[in-house]
Formats: sequence, C-alpha cells, structure tokens
Amino acid sequence: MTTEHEGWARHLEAARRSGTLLGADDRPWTSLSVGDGYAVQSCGLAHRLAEGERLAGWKMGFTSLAKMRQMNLDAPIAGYLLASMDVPEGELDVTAYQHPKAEPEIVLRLKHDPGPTPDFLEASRAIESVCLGIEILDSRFAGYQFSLGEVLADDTSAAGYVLGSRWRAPDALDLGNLGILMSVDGVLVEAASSAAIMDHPVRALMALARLLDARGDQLAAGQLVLTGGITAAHPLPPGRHVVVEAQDLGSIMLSTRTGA
Amino acid sequence: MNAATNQIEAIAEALAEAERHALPVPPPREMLPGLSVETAYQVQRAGMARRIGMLPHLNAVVPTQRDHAPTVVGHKVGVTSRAVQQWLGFDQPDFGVLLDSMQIPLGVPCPGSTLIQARIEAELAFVMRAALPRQGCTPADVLHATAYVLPALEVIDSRIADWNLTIVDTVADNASSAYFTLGHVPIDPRNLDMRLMGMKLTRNGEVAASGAGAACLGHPAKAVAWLARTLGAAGVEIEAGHIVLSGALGPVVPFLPGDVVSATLSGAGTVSLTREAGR
Repeated sequence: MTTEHEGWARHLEAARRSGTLLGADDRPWTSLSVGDGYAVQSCGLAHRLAEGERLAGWKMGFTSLAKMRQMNLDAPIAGYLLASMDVPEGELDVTAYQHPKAEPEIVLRLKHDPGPTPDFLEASRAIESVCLGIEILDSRFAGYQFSLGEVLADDTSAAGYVLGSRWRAPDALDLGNLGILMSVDGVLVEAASSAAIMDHPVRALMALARLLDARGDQLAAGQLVLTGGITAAHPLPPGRHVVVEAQDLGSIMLSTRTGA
Repeated sequence: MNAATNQIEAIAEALAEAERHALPVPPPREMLPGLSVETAYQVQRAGMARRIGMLPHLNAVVPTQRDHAPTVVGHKVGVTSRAVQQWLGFDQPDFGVLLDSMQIPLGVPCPGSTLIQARIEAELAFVMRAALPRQGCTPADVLHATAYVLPALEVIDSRIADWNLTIVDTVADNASSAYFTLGHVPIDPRNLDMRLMGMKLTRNGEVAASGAGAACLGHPAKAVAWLARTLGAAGVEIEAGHIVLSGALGPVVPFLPGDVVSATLSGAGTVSLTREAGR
C-alpha cells in the first residue's frame, strides 16, 4: 500500500459519505490494476475499522465461470462485509443508497479458519451453517461503469446484506445444487441453482481463502461468506417487492420505500 | 388459411427426408407462406402418422433392430421458458409426440446418424398412473395422477437449417424433438419440491447449465396440466402409462459427437447420456 492508495481510498470514502456517484472525470487515478484495486480496498477497510466499524466477513464476486470468462479472469474477486451493512428483512428505506440492486446469495458462517489453501474437504469442514441471503449492491461509480481494478477498490460494490432466518447445517443440504428463485413484484425473474457458484459454493470458499492469503488476510471463526451472485442483479427502486427463495433454506422478503 | 392436404403432406415429407438424411431444409414458413400454428400442428400430425405407419426398415430414426413400427409412448411440452418464448416471439408452450423409437435405454449411447444440430436439456419426466382430465386439468390433478417422476435428458434437434425458427416451424417439426432418456429411480411426486429443486447439467465434466424447477412455466406440473387441457381440446388424452417431458429446467447446451452429459435434479437423482463418437 502506498500513500497514493490511501488517497484513492479516501476519495471513494468521501463519495460514499456524500452520496456522490463518480463519473469518468472524477477519477484521481489514470488507471487501476487489480493489485492497486485490492490495495485501495484494504486501505478503505483499515480506515473503517479505525472508525470503530466491525468486520463481519467477506463476499465473493464473478463466481460464475461464464462471468469469469466474460471478464477474462481465472479466479473470482473478493470484498469485505462490515457489521453495519447488515440489513433486516422486511421494509428497506432505499434513500440511503444511490442506485441499489439486489441478488440472491448462499451465505456460509464459518466454524473456523479453513487455512490459506484449503482443499474441498477442509473448506467444507470449516462451515458451521448455511443460510439464504440477499446482497445489496450500490456502486460508487455512475452507471456501474468501472474497470476491474476500480470495482475492487470500491469493495466490489458492497453496500448491504440481508440474512434469512433459517440456518441449516451444511450436511443437511444439497449445497451444490440448491434451487434458488427470485420474484420481483410477484413475477418470477430468476430460477437458478447454487451450481452456478463455481460449480459448488464450497469452491467459492476455497478461492476466497487463497485470495485473502495472497493479500495478507485470513478467515476467522464466526465470519460470514457471501459466496457470489447466482443470477443477474435486479434494480431496487422504491416500491419494489422482492422475494427470494431457496430449496430447504426458506425465503426472504424485501419491500423498498423512501423516507421514514 | 386452409392449407391443402397435399401442401401439408409435402412439408411433412420434406421434414422426414431431412431427418432421414441428416440434411436440414428451409423453414416450413417459407415452404408455405402464411403457415398458421393450427396448420403447423396438422403438419406435425401428418409427420407422426407417417412414422407410426412406417415399416421398420424404412425408419431411419430407429436406433436398433426393431420388429414393430414406432408407437406413441407420451408427449413433450416445449417452449416453457421465458427465454425461449422471447426468442420465438410466442407467449405459450408448444407440444410434440414421443415415440418409443425416440427413447434411449439406460446405458445405451445416443445414435448420431440422424442428428443435424443437436442440443440437450434437462427436464422432469412424469409417468402417469391414470389418464389426465381432458378439460380443466390442474397441477393438483397432474400430481394426483402421476405414478412417479424421473430426471430426464431430452436431445432436441431441428430439421430446419441453422435453428432459423419461428413457432410454426418448430411445431411442424414435432417441437424439435429427437431423442430422450430417463433416470431409473422413480421418485414419488409427493416427496419432491419440484418448483424449488435445483438443476445442474454437466457436459464433459464441466457445469454447462443450471437452473431450477420453476424455470419450467413456474412449476413442471403446470406445464403438464397445460398440455392435458390443450390436447384435450383437440380430443387427445394423456393416458395411464404415458411419459410426459414437461420442459427445460434451464438453458439448452450443444450435444456433439462423443459428448457425455449428466443432469442432476436435486432430490430426484441423476440421468446421463453419451453421444456416439461418429456420425
């Protein structure tokens, strides 16, 4: 990390606090590599922890093979989750966001750190329980127009997460092939399987452990892991009713509104 | 419009020739401008009548030695996903006939000699215990009349060059059907959440498609109920013992010579199919 990375992290934080979307001319950098992106993200996390925020866990992005190929990546990407990003199920005031989107997630809670390079069995054994989630994305960049380095610097657009109330032990589930449905305003918009997450959500956890090791972080007991998008993300303007369901994991409802 | 019988027979013959020689033809909508969905189903029926009446040695679809003409073993529902409906510009499913000659037994490779541009998709198959009501059939009626369900792979193919289809072209071509194979562990439909079940399809060891039960019209039993009502209106009954392929549970993928494909429906088991390496 350099003072440049520090400065760029402050720039993104100021945009987040003021609710400003950064356009093409609002970038203090000329270009951001993947390494730069992770360095800026780490600076941002350090700043927020210094402000008294608590690290709740991690999130994965670009976990579908199709998305990785599209982005010319050989591995998914990762961001951090703060406890303050936890949003309860039910009504959601969207005035706190700029252009929020929602997508279903399979969420893991860790029993212990699986180590820096876990195999499938080691990663599986590190999972205490599994629940359904909704991730709320809200990029600091106008129109979600960003480079790979930029989305990494922006904590992979992380803004919030909703956890379902039905936690299950992983061995009680067909974790690698859970049906997942999403309806918006009563219309089914997505019918997918957790197989879309790198063939199996445990593979996302394996990849996350490696990514964190490469940047000097590690997983810890009690942390949450959002294993990555399974479907397209759907916009959340006021007045939307979103229902997400997963096989054996119940459902989550979210109704968006403005004001108190 | 009222198409003359000879025009209907001519299209059916062209499609049958295309299949026999694995050489695609132009779309039926170009052979008969103004072709309606209704007339396209007449073409489908004319094509089926030919195949059912055909002597075994003339039927190029038959994968193995046969001692009888093909018989009807059930029906398929197609165009059940929003994506395919949008592609074809048609907001309803369609249907076709399943013949015993299209069914690939467990462990037998899928022949390639009549395939032109084959694709494969995962579905849930219903095997009926009782006939379905021809009028007003509901998903509950379907579940009640189902002996068991099985995971299924359907090989679809189009006898029309480059899959250049509208709804009338696929209807005339027996809903682009080719072959199907069924899993072998019967599942009681009462113990399966067929709306929320996950679907994972692997092709040559890689996950090539995934989805869920609801991808098929919101619930696979809804597709079967639609079929019972639609066939019923034409005086046809889904009979006890019939197989119904209810529609794709996710995206369709290519099925090329030598491909090994498996589909797993969470809670309903796995079904696999290999395509012969040669043509």
